[in-house]
Amino acid sequence: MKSRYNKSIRYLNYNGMKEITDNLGSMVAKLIIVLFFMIIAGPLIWMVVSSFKSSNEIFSNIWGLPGQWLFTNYVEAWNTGISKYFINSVFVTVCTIILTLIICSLYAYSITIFDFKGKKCFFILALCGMMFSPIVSMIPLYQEVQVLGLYNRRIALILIYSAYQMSLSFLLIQSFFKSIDKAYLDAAKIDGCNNLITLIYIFIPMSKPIFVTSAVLTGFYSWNEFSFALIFVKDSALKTIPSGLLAFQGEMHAEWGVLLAGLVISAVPIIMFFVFAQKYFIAGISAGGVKG
Amino acid sequence: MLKKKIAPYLYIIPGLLILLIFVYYPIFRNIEYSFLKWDLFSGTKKFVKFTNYLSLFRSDEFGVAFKNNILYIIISFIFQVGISVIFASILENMKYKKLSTLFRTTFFLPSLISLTIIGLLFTFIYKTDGLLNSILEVMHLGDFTKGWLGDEKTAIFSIIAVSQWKSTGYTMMLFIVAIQKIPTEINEAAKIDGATRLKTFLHITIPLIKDMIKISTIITISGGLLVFNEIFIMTNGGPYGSSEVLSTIMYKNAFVHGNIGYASAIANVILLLSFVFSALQFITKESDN
Amino acid sequence: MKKILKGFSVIVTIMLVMGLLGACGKKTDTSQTSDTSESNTDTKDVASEPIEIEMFTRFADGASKDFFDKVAADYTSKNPNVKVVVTSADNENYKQEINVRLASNDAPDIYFAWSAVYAKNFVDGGRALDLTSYINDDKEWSDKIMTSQFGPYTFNNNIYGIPIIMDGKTFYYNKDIFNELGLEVPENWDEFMTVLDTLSKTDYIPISLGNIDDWATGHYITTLNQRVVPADVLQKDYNLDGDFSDAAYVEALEYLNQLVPYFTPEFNSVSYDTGINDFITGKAAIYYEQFNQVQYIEPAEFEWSWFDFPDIEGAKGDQNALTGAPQGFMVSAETKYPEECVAFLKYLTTPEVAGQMVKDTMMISTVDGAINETTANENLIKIADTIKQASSINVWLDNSTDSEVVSIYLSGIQAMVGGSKTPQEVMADVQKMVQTVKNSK
Repeated sequence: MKSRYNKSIRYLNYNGMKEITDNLGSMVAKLIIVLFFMIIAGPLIWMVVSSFKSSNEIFSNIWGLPGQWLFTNYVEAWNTGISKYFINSVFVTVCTIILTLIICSLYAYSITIFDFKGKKCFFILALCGMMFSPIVSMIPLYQEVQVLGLYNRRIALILIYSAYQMSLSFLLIQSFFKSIDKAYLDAAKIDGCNNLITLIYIFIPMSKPIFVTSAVLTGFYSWNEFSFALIFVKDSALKTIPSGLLAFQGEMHAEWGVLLAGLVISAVPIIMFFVFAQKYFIAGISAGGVKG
Repeated sequence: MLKKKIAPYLYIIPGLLILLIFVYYPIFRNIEYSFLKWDLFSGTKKFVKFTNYLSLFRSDEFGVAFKNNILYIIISFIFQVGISVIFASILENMKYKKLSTLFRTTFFLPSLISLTIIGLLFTFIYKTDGLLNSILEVMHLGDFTKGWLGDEKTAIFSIIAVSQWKSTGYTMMLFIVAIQKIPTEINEAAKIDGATRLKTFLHITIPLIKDMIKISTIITISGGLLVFNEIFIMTNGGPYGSSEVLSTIMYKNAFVHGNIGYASAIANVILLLSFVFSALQFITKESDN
Repeated sequence: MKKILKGFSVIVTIMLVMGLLGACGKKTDTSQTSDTSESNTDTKDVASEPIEIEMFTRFADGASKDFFDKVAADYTSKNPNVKVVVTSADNENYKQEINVRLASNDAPDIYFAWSAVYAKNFVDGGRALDLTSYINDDKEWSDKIMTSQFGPYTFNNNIYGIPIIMDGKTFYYNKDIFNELGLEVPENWDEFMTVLDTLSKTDYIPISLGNIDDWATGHYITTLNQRVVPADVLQKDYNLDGDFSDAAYVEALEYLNQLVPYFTPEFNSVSYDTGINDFITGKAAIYYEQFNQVQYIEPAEFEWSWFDFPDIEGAKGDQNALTGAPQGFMVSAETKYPEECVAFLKYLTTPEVAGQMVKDTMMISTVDGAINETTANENLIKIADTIKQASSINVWLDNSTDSEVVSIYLSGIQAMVGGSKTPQEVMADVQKMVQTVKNSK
């Protein structure tokens, strides 16, 4: 009797302590989270608000709302160059996605359904691409792009982005293909479908979610890639947003409001994209463990 | 019959070609270049054995750059693995789900935005009359205001801070996904046993998301090793070389000074270091499967 | 794990084989490089088609790009047998671009080149055509180009480049501020310091400076070296025949240090654009800038003018030299059509075409008579006269000597004005780098 009483007292005390530490802990935790929220959101909000100000007002009235909302900053940014970078970025991103998905699904399909000499080797070759960082190969790639006549053409970016995104997409697509029931394959064969038709009409439609995930990851990479875009494409009419913005900054001289408007225009599409494709995106990054 | 035999190869050829040409072949060229003294103007190439590597390891710039990469890695590890896992757990424990979704999404946003945009935005914020200094003034910390990117003591740290600003939310998202995969019964059981939140976190959450912690550690380390964009955009290695990292000295030597051989030697040093970490990542993933 | 390792060894073997194949196959690759050189080989045998020459410029956008495109088109329409193709890379990337074009044996027929050591690299590498005979054979044409501007393209008494635009660095000043404070234009260093002292007691920034890119203070040292270091020593050291040990280099740095308190606060964090902006918005009284950037000064809403870098009395250097190298074009030693290339450059430097360039781009032409009332405004005409009067030309530090020496010199200067290095330390680093560069050559 006595012992049980003691035990429950102890339990109560323990519980009381727990309440207190948990409450205190969660108070501090919440405070830190809110502070962190301000640090993250502050610069973004500042960027949007300041993009409506004149160059002088950005610094003379650093905190307040614009005295006059200069929507013209956006018009000017769009017309001075952002529009062409935007179109190039869309072009490069879409082409990279299409190319990557095509080569990966063919590659993965072959590895999944055929048995052939060197299969293991080709499998590892495709996966190991992930271990090499593009920046390390910058110098030889530069020479290569010159020699192949790809220099200053958007196709150079498309090919190289596909090459470095291939391993990840291959990994995702191949592991999905592997899980598809072989019975479908046999059924297709009986119906007289050849391999390519089976891939297009059976495998790909069944793997839609993983294709979307791969597309989202590839798109995210090619939209934001900077160093190759900087080095391989010099013609200002062909630049993508990340490298074009640097040129844009040079052209703007001290028109800072317009520059900030350009930054906002460039940031919005990828954020919108994320809102719509959030599910696939997060699935992709947690499966791939990659960093943009 | 022959058709059947070559069919598998036909499927892999497009991908294989692209991989070999743009991923594997350059690596060998890099190794070749690093043993050459290559005069761009006359086009002469001379085999010089390890001279490029030796002069790299003896140079001052290598020391500074390597130190900065290490700084980058350490600080990134603290934020993108240490702090981010704690934040992930706090957010997952919040009672108001709507609020935690707002926080989570906001923290994640910067990692979506291109580094050019972020780099240019922060050059504004770090200006002498920029946002950061004006915040310090408001907080009566006027003595601490400075030109953050133009001061050799603060430049590299200012850039590293931007990198944490951008990426902490990213690994946090990875951890949140991992935490959500923990069966709710386990947490319930811990609660009934009377474990404090801290104890639950240390003894239950952490061990269960171990793999994600490993992966994040590896991507954070290789990220710190390969960093280029933010430095190129914000300081280009300045002031007086104080914020150089390996990739920026590689870029400068190759594309500004035209020392192709020497620059390739730097590339190979980066490759070797990053290879070790990527191989680790690869093996971790393989062992998961 | 074992499986992976095994897979790896297979891959590595494959890649090694590939590497070898690639290395062997390379020679055939280079022959079919970019579009332009392809068409060169094509047109060679077909006589009826026009020959094509490529001109590679650093003018990648704006009015200057439009000008060169238009000149090429005009030339082709007047000479149907020659098609001039203009390609370009922007200013920042030009050096890197041309390097790669040369390295991949794909040299453009005519290419832009900054003068002095930059041009000398091409000459030493055997990449530039000696133009001396063309210049001597057609005096009627070549005499119209300002003689002094050929200097930085002359090596071993041979001329390798045609200067197109000339330049100079000057102190622009805000006349309104000077009048308000009763200041006179300074003639020598002491007067300059007095002016700056007066300005520093007001709210104006005495001298606007954006030095986040280290060349801005480098340009001050270009001029100060010229004023302080004996000309022959300077020449020897820049050519890397000397070792930069003259005490005058340290003296030049000390003069720059005297100016530090008068520059924009925290100038090492201030961008180039802000530097200009502070001057044209009237926040700063003086600004050191090139004549060729005058179009960025023009928007200023106050009265402005310029004065020469003040003389330093008793110093051993040349007090009248103007800092500012010409920029021009060189012809590739490998071109198939040297005659046609020179003919096009002649066309580019006729007074009419050069005048059009001045009118379209506000760049300061080297051609006599190109800058006149119909092509230029009053300021530009005055600037051209200033350049003509200079005793000699003093090339930017950026282009004066080896790029690695320059790099360490410029960042050393930036560190010094930022307070982290002494002048002696800066020169010690430069001397060390000179040794390293000499040893590797």
